[in-house]
Amino acid sequence: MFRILNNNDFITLILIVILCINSYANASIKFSDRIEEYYLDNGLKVILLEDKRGPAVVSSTWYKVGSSYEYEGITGISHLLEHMMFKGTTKYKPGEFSRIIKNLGGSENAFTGRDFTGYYQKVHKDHLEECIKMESDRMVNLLLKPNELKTELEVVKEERRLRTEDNPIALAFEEILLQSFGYNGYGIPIVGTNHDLNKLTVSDVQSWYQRFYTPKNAILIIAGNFDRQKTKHWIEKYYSAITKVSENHQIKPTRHKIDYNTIHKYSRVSETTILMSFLNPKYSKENKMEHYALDLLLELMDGGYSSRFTKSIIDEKKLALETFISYESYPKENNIITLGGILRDGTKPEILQDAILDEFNKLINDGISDEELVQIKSRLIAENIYKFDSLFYQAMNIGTLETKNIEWNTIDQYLNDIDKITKQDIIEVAKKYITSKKFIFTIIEPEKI
Amino acid sequence: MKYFYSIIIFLLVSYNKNVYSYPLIQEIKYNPDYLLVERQSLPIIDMNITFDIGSKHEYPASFGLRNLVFRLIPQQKYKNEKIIHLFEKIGALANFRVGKDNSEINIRFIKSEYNVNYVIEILNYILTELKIDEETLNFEKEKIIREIKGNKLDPSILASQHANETFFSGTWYQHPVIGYEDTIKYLSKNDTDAHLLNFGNIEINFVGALNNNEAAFFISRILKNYKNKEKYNNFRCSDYWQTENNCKFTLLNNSMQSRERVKLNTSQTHILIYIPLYISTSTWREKNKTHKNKSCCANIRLDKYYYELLVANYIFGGSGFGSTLMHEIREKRGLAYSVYSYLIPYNDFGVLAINMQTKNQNSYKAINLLEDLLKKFKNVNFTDDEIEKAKNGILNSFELRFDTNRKLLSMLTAINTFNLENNYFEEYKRGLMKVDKRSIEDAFLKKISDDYTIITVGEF
Repeated sequence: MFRILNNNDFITLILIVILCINSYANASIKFSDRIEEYYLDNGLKVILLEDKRGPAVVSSTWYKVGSSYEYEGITGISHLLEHMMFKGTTKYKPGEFSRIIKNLGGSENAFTGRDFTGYYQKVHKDHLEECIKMESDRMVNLLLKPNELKTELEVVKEERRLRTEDNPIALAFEEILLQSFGYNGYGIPIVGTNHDLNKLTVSDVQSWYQRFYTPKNAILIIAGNFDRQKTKHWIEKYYSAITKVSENHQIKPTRHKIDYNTIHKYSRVSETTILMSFLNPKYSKENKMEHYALDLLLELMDGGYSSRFTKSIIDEKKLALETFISYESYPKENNIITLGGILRDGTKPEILQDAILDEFNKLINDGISDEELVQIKSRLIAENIYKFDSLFYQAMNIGTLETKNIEWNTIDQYLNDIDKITKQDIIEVAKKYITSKKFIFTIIEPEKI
Repeated sequence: MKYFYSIIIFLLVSYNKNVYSYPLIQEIKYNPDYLLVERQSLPIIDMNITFDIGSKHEYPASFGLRNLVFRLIPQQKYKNEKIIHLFEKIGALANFRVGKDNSEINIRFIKSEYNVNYVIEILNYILTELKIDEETLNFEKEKIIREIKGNKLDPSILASQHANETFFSGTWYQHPVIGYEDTIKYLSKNDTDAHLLNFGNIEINFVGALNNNEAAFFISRILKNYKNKEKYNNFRCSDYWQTENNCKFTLLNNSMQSRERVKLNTSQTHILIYIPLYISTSTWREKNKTHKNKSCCANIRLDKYYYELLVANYIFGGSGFGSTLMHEIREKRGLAYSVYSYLIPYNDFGVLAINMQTKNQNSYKAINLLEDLLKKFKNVNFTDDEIEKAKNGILNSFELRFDTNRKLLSMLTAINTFNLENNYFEEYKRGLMKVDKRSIEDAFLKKISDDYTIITVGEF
């Protein structure tokens, strides 16, 4: 029968987990054991990540462009271009790319973020060449037709309605980010505004494509079961002839001063929800450990059901039905950290706000127990290992970092780096980023009928 | 020349064997209720415990009870700590889920001797000694009632709930798993304690870094003193349904032809269509007496025409880009971001469902188009070439669909729940290969009627 773990047990447990990781290292856990990276002469960065657990391989192409590269007037253009990439090239008819992948038994999709646009196909290893061939083709030969653009714009507007306009929390986030950064960087909505979407033309999209869809601005990540020599040969064969060159892209940021006014909305929600958004500075090598300390701080506060918010605000004080935190570990631009909760009947928004801030003050004044620190570290370590279960998420992990010019081996160093974070480091970031800072307070109340 | 053909055939057979490599499914200590796929490549163990009781076994006054109990489990204390906290302490992920036909506990954790013993002890406690604390009960009820209110404002959930209430009216699939405000309010500690005595029959599935002996040890320890293992054999429906309709599952004609509109202040209208699939109760498994007593009686997954329905749905709207629905609704007309069809394999009834959302102004246009496409679909308006491509697409995608331990566990759970053969992967391939246009026509004639229910939610 096991005992409830004490501090020494926790240390032992962490050691066991780390030993576990090492014993499996040759199989899958460390990227550096399995990655080969190189550049083609035209500047295309290639990352080959072997994982031979099954017959599948994921071929993914990442372009360093997303909504943070946009500006007012063309918001949503990166995402619209992502949609248009399925509308045919000089060699393939509209939709043919998808049909070929489907007939091979593969699956494919694409996604646009703030700093990247990515395309992937998951196929049996026997069909990898077909993916490389078709993906390289649409890097240069995309055909943009006005009628296709017109139809796809309607699809994008439907996507906006589904994900943002009919989603009260997403809509509030759009407003908070705009209030924080204006139409700069992460203030720009990925899907774009209706106003801008209605004005985008074939020529706008064409010029965006020419500017960003070039080998030098792309990273090809292949993860899974593949023959290394053949794969390198196919990459050379299909990509090396592409000579398309990136055009300079410099956005002049508009002047914007963060607006800390409270946002008060009445929306289609059943209970009042509050959000508190703090500034989260962009990631750099220099502030890496501070960002990791923030990772641990926020994990400690609301990373699980045993976190402080749940124990104190939900279970003991009974002020909220739920609490949540929204945060990104590696922001390329200035971003926000949002803390929030759904109010329990009888709780006033300001009371929950104070209770959330109190948790940070308590942490600063009373400190963190050894048990807590080891527990959150073990949770982050476990989560990190679980990510290796999926080929797609392995490629995704690498792609999201590389497009922000952060090297993939940052992930391998993560466990060691996290282990170095001390209790004092966590307290310092709580002071620096939360308790001493102003924030945008958002209240979303049920609509008054 | 004859010799030449033999070589060709041999090569083809060898080639296929190499192309399709399926995971080896092991019965744990020869018990068909316990399955394992051993994968030692990552230090992770994924496990699933499936109980053959779901929301359909509830009677009207207790709608939502099973879900309430499952949500309460992680909130209860063992050795003065919440169960969910204990799992989190070792970085384990625990998920407690209730469906209409059954319920599940899924656990994922890093393998170590300590962790295995730790997880075993908690699970054994849950299955044999758990009691519900009144305070957590009241709080969970409050949270569920809030969620029920929230669901009424979510167009997608609202559409699904109305579709079930209308289409399955008068049957045990009618009510939502979460229950209703009026039923949750009155559920007491007596109800939850009594329900804990009826966990149900258990099936256990493992994927990951453990071998057959380790899995057997795991199971023997978590089921130690588990008392109601056999209690629910031959269980079909709750006493209420037994007396109400003699436990017969009958859909009303007017339910199946219903057109219901639910008004909600949204920019899009959500459209959900349910088409009944008449699944025969006499599957080949029953004929061959390989069917478990407790298993389902009319699941699409076990029907003789399953593969025909699978291929037809793939062509119609089950395969994303290039499917009929995606092509006609999104690619050609830009009417929706997402449109698809899917088979709902409830144990006692099958449904082909269609789902889409479009801006409110386009809702009538979209419904007319969907009805037109559905009519053509029922006339089997696809070519032999489309059928062959669909079969190849499904077949080639099959082994890619369990490329993660998690997906494989979900597949293994389905194999166990539906009592499919352990050489299921080969069966699947054989079943698909025999599908042709004629067999689909035959399937449609026997399985699909002209009736269907349409639910729309939005501002129109």
